[in-house]
Amino acid sequence: MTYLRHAPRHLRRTLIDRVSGRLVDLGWTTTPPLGAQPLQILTRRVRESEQIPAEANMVGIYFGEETDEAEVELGGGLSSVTTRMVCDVIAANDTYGLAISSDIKDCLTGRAPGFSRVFRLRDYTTDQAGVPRDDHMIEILEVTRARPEQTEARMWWQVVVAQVELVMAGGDS
Amino acid sequence: MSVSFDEAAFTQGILTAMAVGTPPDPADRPVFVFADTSTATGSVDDEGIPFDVTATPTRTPGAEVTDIPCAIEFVDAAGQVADVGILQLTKIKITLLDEQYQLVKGFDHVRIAGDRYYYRKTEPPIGMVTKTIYTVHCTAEDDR
Repeated sequence: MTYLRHAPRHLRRTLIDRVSGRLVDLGWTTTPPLGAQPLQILTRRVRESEQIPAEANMVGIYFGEETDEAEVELGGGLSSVTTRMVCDVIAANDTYGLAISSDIKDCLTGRAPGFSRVFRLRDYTTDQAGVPRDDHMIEILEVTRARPEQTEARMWWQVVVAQVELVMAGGDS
Repeated sequence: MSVSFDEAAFTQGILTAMAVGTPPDPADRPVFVFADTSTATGSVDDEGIPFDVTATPTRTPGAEVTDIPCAIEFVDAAGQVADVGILQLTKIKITLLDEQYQLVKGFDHVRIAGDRYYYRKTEPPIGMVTKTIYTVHCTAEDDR
């Protein structure tokens, strides 16, 4: 078991690759289903200053706070942190928004074929595609989808939020 | 209906008005600054920063564009009520003609007399017969 420096960077990249890879595989970015426009995937929160046409389908992936580390098992040398992954889905209409956010949710919950809630962290230090690590495991604890109801301006805005736990090995065990 | 419009005279008039409002000291004039870029070989993230902490990316400072005729309005004390009290967003509004807008389009921030104002949004362009006028909004660095 070895220490992985800057593990949160690798965690974020692993999750972004998992979600965006699924959307790409499903054709959302090239030949989308249901006659939708190609989806644009941003790896940051969508900002007003992005100047992206409002009629396009778009996903912005970003991350929230991270908890303190907790020991998983006394003396076991494993610790865990949880963080929050947010996928803003801004779609051309409500149907596309629901379809895209459902595909994201199914990928994260493991309902989609070939996916699981538990998987290995990828180490991107030397490989752009990432190398799976046996000593750092990710578990998707909870996935919710919400449709903000308060504002008419974002009536086709869906938000998929995942609570994510990273269980990792220490540096000296 | 035909419209008599002297485009050259109109453009010159606008540019003259902008020049009148330009500070005489070059250090106080607006500088449009583009974002720095980072390049590195190997495995990098979306911002071009390597995952390998021993690798050193090459950071290239963004271009700076100076002497762009424009009109700048400073907007302060346009407070809005929020849960934490009154937020005093410090903003500037920059008005540009189309030729000048194309020279600075995509800038990251504008520096005026040492203060930085970050790009926020561009209003839908308005036309003056054959000329297009752009209004760009920026917010002060501490209000990003």
